[in-house]
Amino acid sequence: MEHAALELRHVTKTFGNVIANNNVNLDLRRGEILALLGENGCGKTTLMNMIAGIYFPDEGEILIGGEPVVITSPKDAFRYGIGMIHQHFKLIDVFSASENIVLGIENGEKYRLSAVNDRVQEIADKYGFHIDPKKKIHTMSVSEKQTVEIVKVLYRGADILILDEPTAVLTPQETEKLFAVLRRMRDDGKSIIIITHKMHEVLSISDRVAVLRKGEHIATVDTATTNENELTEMMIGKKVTLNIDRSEPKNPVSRLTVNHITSIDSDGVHTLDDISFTAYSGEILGVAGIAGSGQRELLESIAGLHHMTEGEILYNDPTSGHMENLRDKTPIQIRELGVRLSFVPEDRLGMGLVGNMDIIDNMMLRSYRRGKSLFLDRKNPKDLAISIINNLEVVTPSASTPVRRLSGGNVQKVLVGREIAASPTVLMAAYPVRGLDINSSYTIYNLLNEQKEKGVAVIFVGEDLDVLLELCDRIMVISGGKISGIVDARTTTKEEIGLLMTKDVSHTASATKEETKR
Amino acid sequence: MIAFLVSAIRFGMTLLFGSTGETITEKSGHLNLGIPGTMCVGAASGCVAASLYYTAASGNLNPVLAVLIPLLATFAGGALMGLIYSFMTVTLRANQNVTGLVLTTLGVGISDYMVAGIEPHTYSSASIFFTTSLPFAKHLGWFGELFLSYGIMIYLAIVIAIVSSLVLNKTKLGLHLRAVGESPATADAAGINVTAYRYGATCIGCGIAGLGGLTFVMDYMLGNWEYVIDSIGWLAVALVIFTVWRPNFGILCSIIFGAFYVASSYLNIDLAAKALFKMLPYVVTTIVLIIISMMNRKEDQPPASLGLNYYREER
Amino acid sequence: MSKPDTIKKEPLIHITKRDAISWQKSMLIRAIAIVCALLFTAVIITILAKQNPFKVYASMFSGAFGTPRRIWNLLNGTCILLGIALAVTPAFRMKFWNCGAEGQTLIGALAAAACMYLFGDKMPLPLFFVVMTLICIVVGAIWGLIPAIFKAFFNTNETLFTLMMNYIAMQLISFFMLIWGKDGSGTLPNMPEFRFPKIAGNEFLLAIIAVLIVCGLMYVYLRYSKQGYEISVVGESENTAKYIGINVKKVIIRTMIISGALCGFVGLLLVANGSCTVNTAIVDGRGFTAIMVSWLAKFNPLYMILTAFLIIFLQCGAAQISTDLRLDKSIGDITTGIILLFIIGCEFFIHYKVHFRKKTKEEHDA
Repeated sequence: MEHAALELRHVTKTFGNVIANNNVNLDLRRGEILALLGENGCGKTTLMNMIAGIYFPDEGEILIGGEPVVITSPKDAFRYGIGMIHQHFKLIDVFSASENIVLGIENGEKYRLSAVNDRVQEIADKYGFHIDPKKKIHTMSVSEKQTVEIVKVLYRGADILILDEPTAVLTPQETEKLFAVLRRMRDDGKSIIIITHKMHEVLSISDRVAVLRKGEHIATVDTATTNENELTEMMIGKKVTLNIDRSEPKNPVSRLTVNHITSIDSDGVHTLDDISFTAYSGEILGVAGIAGSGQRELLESIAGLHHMTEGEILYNDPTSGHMENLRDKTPIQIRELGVRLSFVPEDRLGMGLVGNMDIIDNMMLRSYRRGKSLFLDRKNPKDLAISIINNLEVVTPSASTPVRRLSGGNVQKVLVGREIAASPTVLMAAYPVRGLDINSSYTIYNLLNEQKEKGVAVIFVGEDLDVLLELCDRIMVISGGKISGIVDARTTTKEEIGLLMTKDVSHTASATKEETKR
Repeated sequence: MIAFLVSAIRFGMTLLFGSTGETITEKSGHLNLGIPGTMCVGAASGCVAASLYYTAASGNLNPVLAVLIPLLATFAGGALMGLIYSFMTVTLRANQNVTGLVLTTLGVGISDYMVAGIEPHTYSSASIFFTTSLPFAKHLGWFGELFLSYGIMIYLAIVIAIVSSLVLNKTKLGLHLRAVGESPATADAAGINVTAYRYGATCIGCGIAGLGGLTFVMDYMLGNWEYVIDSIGWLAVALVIFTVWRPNFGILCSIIFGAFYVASSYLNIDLAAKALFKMLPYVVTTIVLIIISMMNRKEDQPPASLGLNYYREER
Repeated sequence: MSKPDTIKKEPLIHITKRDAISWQKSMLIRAIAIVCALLFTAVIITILAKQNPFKVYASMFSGAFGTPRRIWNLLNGTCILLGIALAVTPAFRMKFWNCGAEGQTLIGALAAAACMYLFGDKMPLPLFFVVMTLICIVVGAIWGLIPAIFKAFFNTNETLFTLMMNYIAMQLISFFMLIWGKDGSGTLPNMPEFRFPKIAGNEFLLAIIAVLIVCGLMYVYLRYSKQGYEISVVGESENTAKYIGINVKKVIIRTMIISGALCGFVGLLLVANGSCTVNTAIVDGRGFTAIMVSWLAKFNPLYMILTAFLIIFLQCGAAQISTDLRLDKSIGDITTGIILLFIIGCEFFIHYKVHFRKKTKEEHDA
């Protein structure tokens, strides 16, 4: 029997106390596209990083062509013909495309950049990519950068390609183009692993699907004989009824009105394009979309952290009844206006909290300015820390433990607990359950629901559609920085949202992007 | 005027060794503040080697060996400092600034100790071979004096700067090295051995920087040890910024720096004004540093991960 | 693609980050490092000087504690170094690599000498002391402020900027020494008439008390004040600082003013409570040594008393060794350097755990 191109046997990897992969067995045949499916944080990327030599497994072995191999570095991986395209591009900004592509190749050939340029152009022509080999990375758009990453692997002539969520940053057209290339490579006898959590992509591109759940390999099935429901079930564990409580919104009042906000980043790309919506008190407004569609920019604009080029954000003060425009205000100015806005950012330890500080000091982040004293008040934050630890069942040795030592779920409880303690009128949460176990996730859902019942306008940015459907009252879908639809969460379907997420508004956005570039 | 330029070039090339060495080191992402100490140790190793050779040859020096032995010893001495630095920062992951500063203290101490233990005439007698220029230089008037009248180290500095520049920009070795300094994680993912490059670049860079110390003693000071090599080292660190991390451009920049430094001796101004003149290199460097940060052109920035250590398996 | 070789190998050494380490254990590791360093230097001194290393240590102790005069020198030296270390600490906690303490202190010393020279006799002595102190602090603050402004607004590399400022300060001193050195010797006259008064008949006590007060204040400032808290947040994560609305530029500038002002104050002590004149070597590299003091103490002002003391003790001891054993005085720099390298190196073993591969029958390959 012919050996598989790549086999993983009993691979286990832990980081500190966190088990990222547990006893994973996986095989990849020659000339197939294997989709690796799983929720965020289920260990897909860690697993692939072990094949690519970024991490080294704690236990288990990797076999290539039936022979056990040891991959201690990306260089080893290249030697075995493995090439990985990372989700975060590994490109050097000040280098040209060709310089990035040729980086790390040791084939004994004389290094001539012009020859590399020719070869890159040749590959690009063969597969129909558009690439300027001499262009510097820092002047490129996101999709151009991805092209460089893909050509880089092709240039190396890898036999085994791993793509980590390659479509997250692409327009549907670009995705189709990529898939065409991948199919061509498969027909050429190459083996491809594509990491994704988009079901329709899995079904359209892959030959087989391997499903990971919480670091464990659940099953590998033929794509032709499976369907979305079965895959979802494997991915999530059971048929998805989450049983999240949802009450009817009580006397909703418009709390936050966003009018026509637009934001353009340093590359001239429209990260937000004419966004308008209203968030009501006593409801949870969900925000759905492919990662990087403008969710972060939207929340940061409202929080006063992101500069918007156009539009206004009106806050309806429940006590005074005044309308305040929050545009171009700093977070401090917003608070001085009496706007009680809480924000649970996506990057918990890099933004919402300070990893090296203990829980008490992290409690102070929001409140330390209070009072005229030059000195800090640690008494109230300490009480708050203790009450959060008790009420939310935070597992920690003490209130003076640095939060970096806590597990992901506990970190999030600390953060959400602090933001809620400020008794907000608007609460924004970005991916608040990412990487959390089921119990912690439910704690967070309950907290959000509690806030909703208290009359807070909750904006919830999520990625798990099932959660959005069961938790939210309305769901706003954004795609390419634009709103592609706002739907009633009680009546809509997963399919409808899925369609809105990939709706063709991004096409016009990318067209604008090209224009601004010139 | 010619004498001024010649002097500026001689001093400038001393600095050029240091700045080329530090540039190579910085391109790997190491902000090595141990360079002043490294130049001291390099110079002292060269002098000790020269002295040992003098004793071994009982004063009958072979011109080639009299140059080659100190040269190799200097390179080795400098490289050893680089090795210590790399071991501390790469293997033991110590803070680069702190390690560099300690190495400067240590290097100054070691070099003083080494030099204090040897008879000055034993190494200064080798100086004559370092300063020997081409025999026909004298017959070519100002041209000969300006371009051909120098000792071997001056030409070596230029050759090393040009070769370094070519290696950095035109070879895969240089491409990989720059990648390591820009983004070690990317280089690592591309299969480049970050550790090896950082060790290698730092050792070679420090070896080259050491030669600057030797040039100062053997060429510029005509074989006399002077306890200012560390301040020349800091000038070399400044020069790296002034050259915007380009060794070939550094040839010109180092002459400008040299001119600033020696100008006071050739200008008819009082001592106080001369002190201000010696301030110029630092002021100009500061201004360059400000300008490149204001212009914010990607190509002119320090290597992006300068001063940062790299560990792969951290999460 | 090359045929993969099939020899099974695992990395020889495997390094993992420690989760947490007990206070005792980390102290133990540091103590072992210092012992190793002392053994290592002992070997070196034995080889170099062909002397019994115990004799060397004995003379080290006598150098530091031998006479009351030596003890006072040791304490004074510790305090000056501690003062500069305290000055760089707020900047370092903010991850602003202020390598310019040398220059900031120099410029403070220059300001003190300039005050003495220019208008020391034009006002009553108590008033003069106040004016001089203020001027030194302001001048030091300005020297720290300049790189901070460019860091805040243009993200100019502060390490390189502050390094350059050191040499500018040094050349300024040479300049003024030449201008004011009346006899053309290029040195400034001694002006002991403007020296700070002795306390209890002791010339060092004033500086020691002043620095210890500053040390206490700095500890309180960093640990308990709102500004100190902001410094920590900016240092730990600029993103978090922005998220909670801290004006990062303002914090950078404010902190560097404090850092520079304190350096200026230490410069004042060096002149007005010390030499009563100024020269380019007056700080003598302590601006750099102070960085080590601060870093070794994990930026905690109270620990800094210990680390500053350790370093000055080593230096005093080493100076004694060189006189007692007729070694070159550079041996002091060498021992200090080696011991510091060991201490810096041992931090690795505090933060990381090293696992060695278990010996098996597997063969090594090249």
